[in-house]
Amino acid sequence: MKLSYPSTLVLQALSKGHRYGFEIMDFTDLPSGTTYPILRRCEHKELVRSRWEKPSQAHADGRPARRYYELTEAGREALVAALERIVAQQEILAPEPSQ
Amino acid sequence: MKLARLLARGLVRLAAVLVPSSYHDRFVEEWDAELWHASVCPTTLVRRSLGAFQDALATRRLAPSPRHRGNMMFWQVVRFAFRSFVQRPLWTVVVLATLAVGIGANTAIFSLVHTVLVRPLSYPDSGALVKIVGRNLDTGELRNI
Repeated sequence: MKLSYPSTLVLQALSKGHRYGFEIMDFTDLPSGTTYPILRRCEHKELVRSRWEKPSQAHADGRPARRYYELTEAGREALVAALERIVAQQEILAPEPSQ
Repeated sequence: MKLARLLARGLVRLAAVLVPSSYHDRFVEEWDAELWHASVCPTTLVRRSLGAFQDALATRRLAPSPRHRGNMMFWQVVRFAFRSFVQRPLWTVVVLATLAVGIGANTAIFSLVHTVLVRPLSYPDSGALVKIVGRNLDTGELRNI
């Protein structure tokens, strides 16, 4: 499954341990209107799974429960493939060393 | 900041109108929680909340059709029932025994009713039968049976 560049960024953020929507935006610098639809699509394709924080824990801290996201095994594999592709593309785009 | 948060929450609720009803509450809860935790400047907060519209459209596009939802719900109920039975074995035995006795008794009663009242008698024109009598061959006397 080919991932777009923004999707790769979102999955990379998840693999680095950023689990919440706004946290992912801070890490990737993508707008919310891009990040959230990517999360929805990736969850639909089972590259990402989401879970809700335990309400009891959140309420004990006096804050609302958050929904957090994590990579699935398929998501991890898709990310590895996408990163390899990006590295290969960067080699193509790299400027020729000056003579 | 308070005003920005209020405005952002209002925008999220407006966007949530686009979300299918079964996703609505979770959608609002997720955005509310993110806005609550956000430690960004008011402008960024409001700008980010505008993304809820694109999120709502994506959620709407990806939501399963009503028929698919019906199927999913059916299997959800089946899984839930199965888990409940596993978790409460005594209750499961009581339910199964009740069903077994109920079905058994029902079958027995209907078999009896069918044999005695419904099934035709084993000779021709049994429907024309009005009364069965016995006749004494010696005296010719008739007696009810």
